[in-house]
Amino acid sequence: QDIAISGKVTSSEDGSTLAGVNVTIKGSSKGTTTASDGSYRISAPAKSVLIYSFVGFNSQEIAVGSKTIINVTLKSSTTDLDEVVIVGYGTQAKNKATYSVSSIKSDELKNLPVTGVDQAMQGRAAGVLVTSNSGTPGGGVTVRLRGGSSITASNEPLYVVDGIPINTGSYSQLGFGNQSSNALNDIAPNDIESIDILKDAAAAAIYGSRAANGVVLITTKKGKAGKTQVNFNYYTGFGQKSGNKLTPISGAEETKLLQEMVINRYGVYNSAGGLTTPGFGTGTSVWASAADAAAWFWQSDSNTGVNAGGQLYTIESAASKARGIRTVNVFQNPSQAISTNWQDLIFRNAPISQYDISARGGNEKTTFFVSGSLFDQKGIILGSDYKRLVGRINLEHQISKRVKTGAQMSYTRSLQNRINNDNNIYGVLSTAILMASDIPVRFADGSYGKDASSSTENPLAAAVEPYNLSTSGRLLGTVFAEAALIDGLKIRTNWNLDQVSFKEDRFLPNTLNAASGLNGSATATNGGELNWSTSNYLTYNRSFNNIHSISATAGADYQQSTYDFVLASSTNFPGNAIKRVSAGANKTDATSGGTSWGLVSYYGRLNYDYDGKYLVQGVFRTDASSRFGANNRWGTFPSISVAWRASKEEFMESVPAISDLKVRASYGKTGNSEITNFGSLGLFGSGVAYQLNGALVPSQLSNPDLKWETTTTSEVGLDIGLLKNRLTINAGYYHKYTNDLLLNATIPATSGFTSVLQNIGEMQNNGFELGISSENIKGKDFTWNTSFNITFNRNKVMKIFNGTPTPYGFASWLAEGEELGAFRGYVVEKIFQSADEVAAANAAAKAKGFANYQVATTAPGDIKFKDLNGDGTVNSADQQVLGSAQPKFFGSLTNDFTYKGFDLKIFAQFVYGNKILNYTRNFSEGMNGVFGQTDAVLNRWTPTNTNTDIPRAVYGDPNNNRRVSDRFIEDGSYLRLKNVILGYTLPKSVTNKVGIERVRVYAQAQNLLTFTNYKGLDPEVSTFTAGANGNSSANAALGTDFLTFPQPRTITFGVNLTF
Amino acid sequence: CEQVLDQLPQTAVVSEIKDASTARAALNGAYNGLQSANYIGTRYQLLPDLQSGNLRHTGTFSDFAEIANRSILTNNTSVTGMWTQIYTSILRDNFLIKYVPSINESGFTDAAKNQIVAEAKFLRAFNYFNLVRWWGDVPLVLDPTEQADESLKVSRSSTADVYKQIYADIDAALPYLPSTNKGKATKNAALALKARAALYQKDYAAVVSLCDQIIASGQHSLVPTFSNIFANQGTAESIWELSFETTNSNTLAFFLFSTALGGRNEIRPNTTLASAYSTTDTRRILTTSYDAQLKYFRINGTDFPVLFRYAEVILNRAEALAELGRNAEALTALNLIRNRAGIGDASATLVTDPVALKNEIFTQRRLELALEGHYFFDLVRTGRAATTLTNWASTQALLPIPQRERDSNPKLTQNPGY
Repeated sequence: QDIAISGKVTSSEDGSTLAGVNVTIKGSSKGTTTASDGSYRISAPAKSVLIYSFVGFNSQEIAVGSKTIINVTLKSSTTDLDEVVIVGYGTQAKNKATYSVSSIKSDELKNLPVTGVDQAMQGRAAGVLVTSNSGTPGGGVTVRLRGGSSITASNEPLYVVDGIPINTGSYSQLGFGNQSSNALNDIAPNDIESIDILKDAAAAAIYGSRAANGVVLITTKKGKAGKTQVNFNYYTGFGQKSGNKLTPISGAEETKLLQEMVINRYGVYNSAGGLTTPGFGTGTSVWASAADAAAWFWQSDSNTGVNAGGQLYTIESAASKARGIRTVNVFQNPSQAISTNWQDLIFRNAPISQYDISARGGNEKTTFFVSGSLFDQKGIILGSDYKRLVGRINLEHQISKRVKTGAQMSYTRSLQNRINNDNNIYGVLSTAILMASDIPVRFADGSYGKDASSSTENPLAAAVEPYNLSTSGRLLGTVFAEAALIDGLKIRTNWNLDQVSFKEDRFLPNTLNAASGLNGSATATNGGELNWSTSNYLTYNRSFNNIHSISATAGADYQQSTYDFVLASSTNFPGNAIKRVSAGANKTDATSGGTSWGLVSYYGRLNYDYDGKYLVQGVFRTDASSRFGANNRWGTFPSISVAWRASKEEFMESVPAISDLKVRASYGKTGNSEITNFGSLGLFGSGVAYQLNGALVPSQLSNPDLKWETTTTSEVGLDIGLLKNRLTINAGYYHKYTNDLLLNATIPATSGFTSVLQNIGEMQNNGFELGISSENIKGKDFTWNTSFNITFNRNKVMKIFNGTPTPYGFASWLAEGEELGAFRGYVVEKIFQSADEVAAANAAAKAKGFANYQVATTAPGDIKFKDLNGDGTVNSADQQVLGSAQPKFFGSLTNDFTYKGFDLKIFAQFVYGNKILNYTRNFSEGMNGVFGQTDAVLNRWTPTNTNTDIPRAVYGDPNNNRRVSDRFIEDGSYLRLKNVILGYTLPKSVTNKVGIERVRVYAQAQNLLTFTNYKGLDPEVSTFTAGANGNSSANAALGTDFLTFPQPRTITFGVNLTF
Repeated sequence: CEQVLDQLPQTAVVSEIKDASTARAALNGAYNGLQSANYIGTRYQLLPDLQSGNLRHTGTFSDFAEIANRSILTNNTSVTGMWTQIYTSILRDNFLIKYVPSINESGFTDAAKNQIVAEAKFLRAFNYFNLVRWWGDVPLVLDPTEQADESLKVSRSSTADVYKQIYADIDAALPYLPSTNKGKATKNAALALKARAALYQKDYAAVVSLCDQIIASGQHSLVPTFSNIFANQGTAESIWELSFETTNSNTLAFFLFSTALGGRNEIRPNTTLASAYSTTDTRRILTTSYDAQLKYFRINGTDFPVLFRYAEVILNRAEALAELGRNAEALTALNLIRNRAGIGDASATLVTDPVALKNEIFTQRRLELALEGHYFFDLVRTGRAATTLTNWASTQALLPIPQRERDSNPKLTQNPGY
């Protein structure tokens, strides 16, 4: 006898009703679907079982019995208990994964006041170290998964968006002193559903020769059947300078310093105007006074005359007198010097805002997600900003029961104004630090104040005068079709396109040093990469006897990328009104070029699962790359992993506290092929000329054996869930060993080449990762969740070419047995306090056959560096490793609280035990020339201030006190209150009245507080970036700070509306 | 599948020198090898004068500071860059010398091939001369590098052997070099190079005879106005000058000029050099001013450094004559230089005072050729460095072998003092 049953189906996620849910009687073909309000009616036998199934939700079976009303709540198939992770060419239940995978969900990413996905990942996952290279809006970011595995190839992970291996990195062709662009910014963080990070070889091997640095799988939001949901988000706020200050000395202090430097170098003058102590250098000059000498020295346009006594003295030029800077008068009365605080001029409170609107919905046949967003950020340093507009449409359509198709497409347009910074004398922050404080912002005639004896640009001019616009357009899309062939067997094909076009326009007016001699200079570039790929794969899922289940994947990928660029530049402009290359009379450069690569791959994966207890996975991939030498075209990358879910064993059922316990182990190989496209070929290069006739020059030695780098990873891990998974612990230990590192083997330059790319090096990373998350309090009104992760990674360079250490950057040192990113330099012993001390050191050196201990001109107040090898003299051999830029550990701690409508998230991130080379101080405390100095130099050594660690001031620094020594190597550890959000969701009873489902308002602070002993502006630095300096500098010269643009503190206020 | 993997470079070629057009392009490449800022594009001219105090370091480059202080470290980037660039140029010469003779192409005559090889040999001789005067014993590499193996580790050859090779290359080149060849190798350029080498070798009789051959060619003379040598290309005084264009520029003026003139104020003439000139000397302003009138003054980098000029030939000859005791002839030659500079004849009594004569020739050589890459070497080879330079140590005569070279080639010994 059939019973008439009715009821409603709702979603467990938000309680909304679900339309189109299939309700079928188990074992029969009879069934119905729910109406638009989620209700259904069906007649079924009392003994039958009803199955409720719906796309994106777990099916539920309910026995009818005597019930006439059955209301069902379906659980989304991506809820916590049975969380699914994206693993590349498929998905997998997280609790059945045999490897470590970190997932970051959209909640953690959305509405952050950051430009890109990479910045949003910072601190969110164990094993992932993210460092923003600078505070430049839209600038480059360094991401290291479990330490760097390479030296010359890229150390950045492979990013795959909706199955598309995308273009990343910087497309900028112009130099901005390390301010690279970042193609990852083309993905709007609010469009992302999840980020799954494949860290170990077991999971990543499916990406073969590109997986050695891990794989970041980004999945954008998909449509969802049911009522269409519209989300609108808006935030606005401002960024400001945070953290440390560099305090410049005043103009008067600078004047005294300049005079002291000249006298210490060239001699001491008595009141009669005679030279009493011969100085180093010219030796014959005598001056009427020290002020005369200093004024002569620091004004390039003053002349010298000879007085009646035959002594040289200074004749000030009319121009320098008019400027009133560094005149004899100023040197006689330093208090009259101008005093400018350049940093105050160039830092600003910078607005930031973002609007985005999205809609998602659909029915059981077709689902959609569409979104649009506008992000607009100004930099905290004058002249820099970034603006991005993204539109996205994701569609899926079920053509028939067996076939579905869909597309995910986005188009991004971004406009970026960058300014020179970092290692650059034309930069903004760099000049604001390097320009001496006794120079005025503007001269009396209105022109920019400049230092006649330095080429340092006026900081204000550097910020406001150049025109530097980068415009990027990016189409990223995939279309797919999927067909179910027989039970459990599916075939899927994806066709992907990633097209980046990147255009730069630069104009430097003649008001800038960089273009004054050229009468204005302009450069225009246009570059684009077209990257197409296709993946075609079969998946097969089958269970036998409810105990054995297998899932298998096998496929083939093809990918090809072509890059083309043009560049043109000109000088000699008719004024500064027209900024385009066309106006320049002298066309100085015109070039175009291109490059390409191709990759063919076959891969497979097999999972076997015995009763959910014993899990085994095998993966292999074989790649052929156009980049590799003729003798080594194909590489194979296998992995195997096993796991035991002890919690599934019967004996564990007596321990109810343990809800999940999994032990896992894996072993596998992955590759790194991110090298130059034609590194294996012997080449004659073009692009050079003599007398305007084209030339060919030998440019590269061949190496037909060239191949990928191979990283072998072994890992053991433990995943524990306690108290119904309220407390989860994931712990893992890994050992990564990289062979065949591609290194530029240094060869004697007498060959005419300096290096040849060879597979030589070896490197290892050992590490331990721990992630803990806990639902501390789970009340009706109050909840408190905590998550914590920490990573300990030890990197070691095992083998490099000939074992010969190589310097990188300013003081980075690539050497066997050291970490990648080690620093090397001299060690300060003390400051020489007297001429006797210097003489004694020199006498000892002479006794051992050396000319001097340091140099002949070493004098009291100069630094005595340690004679580390004890040979009697200090030379380049007396340097040692002074620490490493890689942290001993890093991680984060997040606390989430909700109380009724309020939510509070406090996210702190930390890095410990890394060293930073503060190369800025090499200049700002260098006292060797005319650069701006910080207040540290006020404590410089003088005969009356001897108890100090700052050496004497002497022009040109003949003793090279400012050489890289432990003086400039600082502890870079920091703890940063990275993000704090306080939100309030209005009660539904209020919002529903105005037809809005949900209203949340919030205030957010990014980089709120930083605790560090580091003396520079920001401990999160990386002056050497892959975009501007090439991979090897970026990989090896880590943690160098040279006039780097600091991260802003950003305060935003926002609203989230759901309709 | 193969289509995807079959990628070729678009801005380079995989093949070697195989026909007339690639041979000519490779010869252009050999000249281009000189143009680097690490070589004739800046450092060739400025470093010797920085080492010897004609120039003063006013900028920020620590490698220049080391050179100005003559406390040069073995990893000095200028020194390393110069060494590397000179050997890079030699590789380009070696490829031509090996492959051009065997090219078989109709219309590519033996004469054309011989001239290309001769130009390459001339350039190789010039390159080795610069190596030997800066570093002393250096590795002699005479074959092109085609694969990376142990054979690249070459020991230093003695200075005498390097000079032997220089002479051999010049002598092999001379019969095939043209008498005119704008911006490129000519017979007279090869003779001038050989004369300069002979002067360094103190083979004074050879210097006189080589200089006489150049004079006898009648192709060259002193231009009456000193500044015209640098203002005008291809003057009668110029024996070999290197061409630069805006698209292929040097950084000479950029390093010397003040920022107001668009330079970077890195190096400037020392006041001691300025005071060495008489105020009426027409060379004074052009050599020592801080502003737009210098030997190098085109801020866009198109100055054409004159590598060999007739005035040097005369001074070489004067010095050699004085060394040979032919004082009267030496003085006559010297006065040609003095008169062109507007300072009149030297005292006739110098004929009877060989020491004073040699000193005066030396002084005029300094004043005439300042900023052209001579002074430091002249001080060293004439033994005047110890008395002229402060804090002089004889080990400063040679630059250090770059550390990277010794690291990559254990066979290389270091020069004393480093």
